Parts: sequence; C-alpha cells; structure tokens
Amino acid sequence: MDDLYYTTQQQDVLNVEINSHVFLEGPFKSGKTSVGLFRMKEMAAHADPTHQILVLTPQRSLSIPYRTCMQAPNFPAGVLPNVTTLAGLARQLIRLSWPQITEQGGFRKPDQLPTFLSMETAQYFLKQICQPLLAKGYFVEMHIDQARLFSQILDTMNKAALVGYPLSETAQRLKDAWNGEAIRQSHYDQSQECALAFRSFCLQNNLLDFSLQVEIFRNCLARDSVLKRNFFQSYQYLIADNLEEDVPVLHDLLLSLQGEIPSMLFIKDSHAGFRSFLGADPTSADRLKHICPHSFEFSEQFDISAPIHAFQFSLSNCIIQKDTSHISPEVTRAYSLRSVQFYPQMIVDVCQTIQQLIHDELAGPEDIAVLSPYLPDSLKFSLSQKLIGMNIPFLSSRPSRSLAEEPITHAVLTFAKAAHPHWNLEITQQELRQAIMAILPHCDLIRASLLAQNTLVEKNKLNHYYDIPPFTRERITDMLGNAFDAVVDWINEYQKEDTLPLDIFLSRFFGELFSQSGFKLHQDVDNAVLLTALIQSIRDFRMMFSTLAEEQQQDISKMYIETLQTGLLPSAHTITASENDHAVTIAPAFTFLMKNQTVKYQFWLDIGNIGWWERLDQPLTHPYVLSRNWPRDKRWMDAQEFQANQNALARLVAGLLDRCSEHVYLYVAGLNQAGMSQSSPLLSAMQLFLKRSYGMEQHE
Amino acid sequence: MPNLPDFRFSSQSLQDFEECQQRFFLRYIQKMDWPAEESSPYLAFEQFRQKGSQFHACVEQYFHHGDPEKIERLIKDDDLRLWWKNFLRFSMEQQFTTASSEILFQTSLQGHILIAKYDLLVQQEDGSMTIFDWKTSASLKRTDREFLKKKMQTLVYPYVLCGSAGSQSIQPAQVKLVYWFPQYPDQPEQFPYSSIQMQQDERVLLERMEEITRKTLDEFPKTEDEKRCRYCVYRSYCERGKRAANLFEDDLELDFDLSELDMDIDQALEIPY
Ligand code: SF4
Repeated sequence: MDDLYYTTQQQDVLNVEINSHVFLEGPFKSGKTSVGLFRMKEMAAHADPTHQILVLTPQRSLSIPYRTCMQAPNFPAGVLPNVTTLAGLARQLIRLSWPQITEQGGFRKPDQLPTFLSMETAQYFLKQICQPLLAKGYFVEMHIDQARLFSQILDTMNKAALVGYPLSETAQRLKDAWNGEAIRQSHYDQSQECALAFRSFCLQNNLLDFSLQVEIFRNCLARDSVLKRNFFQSYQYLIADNLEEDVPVLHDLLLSLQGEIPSMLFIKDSHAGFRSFLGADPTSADRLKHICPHSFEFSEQFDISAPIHAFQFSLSNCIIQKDTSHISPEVTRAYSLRSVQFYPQMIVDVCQTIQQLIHDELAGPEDIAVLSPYLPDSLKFSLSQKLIGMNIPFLSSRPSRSLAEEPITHAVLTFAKAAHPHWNLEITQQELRQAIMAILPHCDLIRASLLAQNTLVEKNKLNHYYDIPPFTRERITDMLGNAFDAVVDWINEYQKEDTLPLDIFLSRFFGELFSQSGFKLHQDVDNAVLLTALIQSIRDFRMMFSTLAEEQQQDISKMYIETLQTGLLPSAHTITASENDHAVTIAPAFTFLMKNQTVKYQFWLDIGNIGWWERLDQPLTHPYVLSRNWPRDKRWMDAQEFQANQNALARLVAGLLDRCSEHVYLYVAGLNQAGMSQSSPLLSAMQLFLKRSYGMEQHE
Repeated sequence: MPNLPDFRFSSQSLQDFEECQQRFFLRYIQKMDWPAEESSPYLAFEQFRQKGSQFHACVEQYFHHGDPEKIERLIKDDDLRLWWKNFLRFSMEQQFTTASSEILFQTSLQGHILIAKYDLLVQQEDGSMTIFDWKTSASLKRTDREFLKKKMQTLVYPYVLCGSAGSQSIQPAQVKLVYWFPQYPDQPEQFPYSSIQMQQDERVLLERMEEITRKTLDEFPKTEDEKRCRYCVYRSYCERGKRAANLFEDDLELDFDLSELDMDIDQALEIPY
C-alpha cells in the first residue's frame, strides 16, 4: 500500500482483518494516526458507492492528516471518504431527512425548510427572547455582560444535548452541586427558563441551534431504526480519531453502530481530553473498547526530544507536587526562563528572540509558536505590530476584529446610507470624510474634509462636486472631484430603479464602481476579501431574518446596519490571515493543542498569569458538574475545583511539551498588563522545579 | 503554475481554463475573492440559483428514502414544483437498482488529481453504471448536444468513474453519462462511453493538466472572447466592463450548473451537501 516503515506494534494492528472493530490507544506521537491513515487507504481500495468510508474527528483541525492523505496522488482512486464531525453528521441527517422528521422533532412549521443557526445568530435570537425576562430583573445581581450571559445559556443547552440529558434537568443538576450563595440557585432557574423559551421559539420557527441539531440527530436515530439504517447503510467502514476529545453522545452513536458498520477503528490519545470544557469525555470513550475484539495500546513515543521529554516529566511532577528523585541534567537544554519587570519588555524580547531564531538558527517562522492561555486583542496587537515591523509572517488563530471595525465597512455602508435615504440613517461629516479617503486614491485628510463639508446635505444626501464654489473646487482638484461625482451619479442612477437588498447593492457598487480603475479598490485584493465577508454576512442575515423583519415591518438592510453596530452580528468576523504555512503561530494554548502540530520553539507568555491554571469564570454553567461522570448527590467544593485545575494544568503542560521538539521559552512578567504583580500555580511549579534542579546540582 | 500540494482538477476548473485562462488563474491558483455580481437581473438570478439548489436537495432527499409527498410540501415555487413532478415521472420510468446521490469520486492521472461530484450514480443489475447530472437551465432553450459534448464535464465525469478502483472494476462500455433537464424532462442527452473514448479523453485531459502545470504565473492570458467577461465576477479586476449582463437575454451559451458552481471541494468533503 505504501513504503512507510511501520513498527511491529503498528504492524500488529494493521494485520487485523479489515472487517472487524479495533480499539487503539496511546500517547501523542506514538504512531496511532499513521495506522489510521494506512487503514483508511486500505479501506479506500475496497470502497465503492455501497461500501463507503466515514471518518469522524471532534473538530475539523484534527482531521487534517486524513484530508492531506486523501489529496495525495497515491490515494486509491474511487469514492472519497466522508470526513466530518458530529455536527456535520447531524446537519447532514437533518437536511436529508427533514421532510420525515419535522413532526416527530416537534417543529411547528413542517411545510417549511429549516434554518441552521450559527453561534452568533443563536445569540441574536436568544437576546430577543431574553429581553422581556431581563427587563423583569433576571440576572440583575450578576453584573455580567450580555454576550457572556447568552453564551453561557447556550453552553448549558449544548451540554444537555452532548451529554444526553433533558434540557429541563439543567438547573437541578447545577443546584444539586452548588455550594455557595442561595441567589445563584435562582440564576440557574432563570437561565433554564431562558433556554426553554429559546428552544420553544426555535421549534416554532424551524430554527436549529447547535444543541437542537444534536438533540434531533440523537432522538431521530434512537427512535427510528429505519431512518438510522437508511442513513448509515452506505457505510462499510468507519474511523473515529481523537475519541477522547469527543462527546458522550457521539460515543453512544458509535456503540449503537457496532452491528451496522462492519469495520470500525477507534483511536484514543491516552493523555489528552483537552476539550473537557466543551463536553469531551475520555472516560465515556473507553466504553468503545468493550465492543472491539481487538484492542491495542501503544506506549513508545517517536521523534520526542530527550531534553524536552525530561523537562515535561519533571515539570509535570512539580505541578502535581510529586517527588522527583532524579532530574536529568540534559533538561537545561530544553528551556529558557526569562524574567522581565514589565509586560511590554516581554513582547519586545519574544519578538527579538524570534528574529534571532529565524536569522541565526535558520528556523522557519512555521517552527515557532507564541502561546498564552487567552489572547486578548491588546496582546495580539502588540505582538503583531512588532512582527510586522520585523517583516516576520505570523498567523493568529483567534478571529480578529469585527467587520464593523474595518474602515472599508464604514466606507461602503456610508454610501449605502446615502443611496437609501428612506432608511433615515444619518451620515456624519467624519464618516463621509473617512469613506472618501477609503475609496478615492491619493486623497488626503484636508481634501477629504473639504469634499465632505461641501457635499453632505440634509442628513444623508450627497451633492455633486461640480456644485461646490470654484475656489474650493480648486483646493480639492478635479481629479478627486470627478471621481466623487462618479459616485454621486452612480447613486442617482441606482435610485431610479427598484431598491435592492443591501448585499446586492454592495456587490454592484463594488463591481461597477469602486473596483473599477480610478478608484482605490481597483485590484485591491485585501479589501476585496473583507468586502466578500461583509456581503456574505449581509446575505446570510437577509436569508435568515427576512421573515422576522417582515413581521416587525422593518427594512432588513437597515436592521443589519443597526445590528452591526450592537456587535451581536452573525458571522461578522474576519480571520486575520489566510492559512499560511510559513508563519509564526500566535494562539491561545488550547487552540494550538487542537491543531495537533509540532513546532521546534514555543514561547509561553506570562506564566505567572492565573489564566494558565484557572478555568474561565462561567457562573451559569459547569463543565464538570454537567457531565456524565459527576455523581448527582455530590457538591462541587473548592477541593474539587483545585484538583480539576491542577489536572487541567498538568494535561496542558504535557500536551504543549509533546508538541515542542527543541526549546521552550518561558516568560515571567513581574507586573501584568494592568500593572499588578502576580503569581500562578504554573509559576510556582516552575519555581519548585528550579529549586529541585538547584538541589540536584548542589548534591552532585 | 506554483506547486500547490492540495490542488485538484475538476470539470469546473478545467472548463474555466478552456473559457479563460486568467479566470482559472484568479479562481483556482490565486483563490481570489471578488465580490462583484455575476449576472443580472440580480434577484431573478439569485432565485434561479436557489431553485436549482433546492431541486438538487429534493432529489437527494428522495434518494435517501424521503416520502415524495412530504418533500413536495416543502416546495413553494411553481417552476420548482413542475420540475419536481417531472423528476418523479422520470424516476418512475427508470430502474434504479442501486443509486447514490451527491457522491464524490477521485482519480489520479500521472500525478494529477481529478475529482468529480455526481448528482446521481446508478448501478443497474447487469453491472452497468449511469451518471446522471441535473441541468437546470436559465435560458429559454435547452442546452444543445454539441455544446454539451464539448464540455469538460462530459470528459471528466465518465473518466473519473472508470479510473476508480474499488471492489468492482468498471468497464468503459458499461458507463453512460446522462444530462437530464427538469424543464425538458423528455429530452435527456445521453453520452455512452467506450474504451476508445476513454483513451481519447485521457489524452485531452492529460494534455490540459500538463499544460496548466507547466505554465508560469504570467502565462494565463485573458480570454479573447470578451462576451465571457459579461458574466464573470472578475470583470472590473480585468478592466473588461462594468455591469453584469442579463442572463435571460444573452445569446451566449451559458451553463450555470449549480452543483458545480457551488462546489468548494474542501467543503464538499466535509459536509457532502
Ligand atoms: S473578466 Fe474576462 S478576462 Fe477577466 S477573468 Fe473574467 S472572463 Fe477572464
């Protein structure tokens, strides 16, 4: 099949007859996925339309090795595997079976198509539902911003669906485990009331948020064996990788398929489970072992640097306060601990070290990852500015600023307001000035101001440049003025025809005017990408909300602009950079882990930050209590919180060092971004590690 | 062409190359987003595309054991209802032993990967296979055979199927490609396949893919047939005009095939819909 070298252990797995179930477990880099890839090729050589392959991973980034393998010329020709996730599978089933499942799913409009909600659109509708309850004083004692409130309510809904208990049980589960002020108990009830009201609204209007998609999927398959058989009948082979990062409902499904899909390979990473806050459950994954006649456990890790491995071992022991009898001397080659007084010094040092690594050590930017528990905008901004200054490409995996903040968005929406005076949305002179500068080439602030001051009339109407007195016209210049008049002429022509939806208006405005030669956007690929995202966002909004807008007798385009300004907007985020294979990664530590990618150098920023240890403050939900492993009669005490955080930190540190092949730079900032001194269990563990190393040296 | 490790040829990309090499370059090599309108009248064009994609969805539900009456209840548009009824009548007349809808196949030809997504692949009892492609046309007349014969899709679809491995080997003579038009249900266009045809097609496909791969980045010229630019989103980028032309009025043979137009391979692999 291919000429890669396989170890005896791998060979043992590959020798298992293809039409049987196999469970394979082992640490990161023990060769499990290589076995999965070989198996997929073997399956593909046998596949046809009635014997297809299903590959499941917990999230898209974890399926990259499978996708890459399928793109190789030596991948067996024929029907391609379906590589997807639980969410993808759920949407697929709902779309295919919608006519059958509307009634049993409880949807009130069986003659209409479903609408799948994104996280942002779900938040938008949830907000509409919750407003009357918030006005009644719900959550008033909590002092929490609305975006966080809604995302936590949605999280409780997702947990119920992914763990597999009724949504109406959520509050009771949280209350049973709660050990603090009584007021929190009523907040749990209020949160559940909001969730149930939202669910009922969704059923009323055929809207499916993620939790409802999973619930419908789960219930339909459990209740309707014919539907289940039809849905899975074309699959002969299944591979589920990173099972430990997946959720109990997916494990239930796989258990139930044991008699229907003859060949299943389950792969589990033994020391992971990083997505537990999203419902991942490694304990639940272990159930699959029992349906497999063949079970294998790999223990050896390949391509692991000995110093890094030794550092990982010692630091992990320090985190869990376990005595270490010996610290290998080579451990010093694995890390550098750098201490700075102020946060900005850390940024400068990180970037200078990256520059040195690239120039002196000939590292590629892709060999480097800069990691922190969270990635606030200020941190990302400082890092990116420095790296841009050094001409070093970087890739920030966190969604960047909202489309609403992009100058080009302001510019095109300003002209949209002028083209649609019936919206009655005001244009300020400052807005118009910025818009003019964004679209007219070589237009400075002074001339843009003059144009704005002299052409904007009646709140949102634009006059021609040639109507301005000659003296002022001279200062603006005809070149700019004529281009501006082309905009006014275009808008006047547009107004003679029927009004178009905002997305189509912008598409025309871009194609017929702004991207033509003589305008700044002509061949401006970066702004074209932003406008594509904006126009798509508006189109999605129109498709989703047009009925609601009609009911409320609102103009859908105006509704979009107003919603954009509130910050609660569907898919209105842009990604900073397109996937660039040769770029420094800047990411939250968890996001980096989910890429399953090894780099030579890692930078851990501000290890004294408590964020490395403490989980996000989420007063209305709870990743451990809302799981299958939590006993309903127990209370969640400080001791459990402490232990959970310790375990999570140990897992995180081990996971990151598993993905580092040369050196890790750890930074301690004396004062954090807010100028406060700080400490954290990661810093304490590092201090203990240094003490032990020092003790060893003295001893020797 | 730069070395793009994840590059896969499809009938759509090869067709784009035939029509305008610059478009191939901008769309598949540069992957350039250019949010201009493709065709006017804008809302009618949008509705046409929506109807086409709903038709594909209805047919897929049907082949996943959907109850035709329940599927029809979801149809609100009169044209679409007529297409659907035509389809039901057509499907009654066929003998579909084993049918798979919206299915992706891949093969490789001297290191070049070719991919095809079939609207419907039917295997008959005698082992022969028919690829069906639903063609929802915007123009008032049905696309003619000569036009279809020259389309890269007509070369690529049967070739990819015959080039595939799997548990059954497929003989070219057992393969047929059928274009079926919901608006013209009684005038399907059939293209039987053969070993000779396969050899000829292989030569053309290989030549084309080699030619593309050998080119440097500045060797993808703009089309000389400027009519094509009237329906191309890159019009302003290429300085080839301002407004999108009217899809329903022009005499240019156009084929806005929805399943292909909408085909983002990566997405198709993730959620085959
Ligand atoms: S506008 Fe014309 S020349 Fe440019 S890519 Fe499109 S078809 Fe080719």
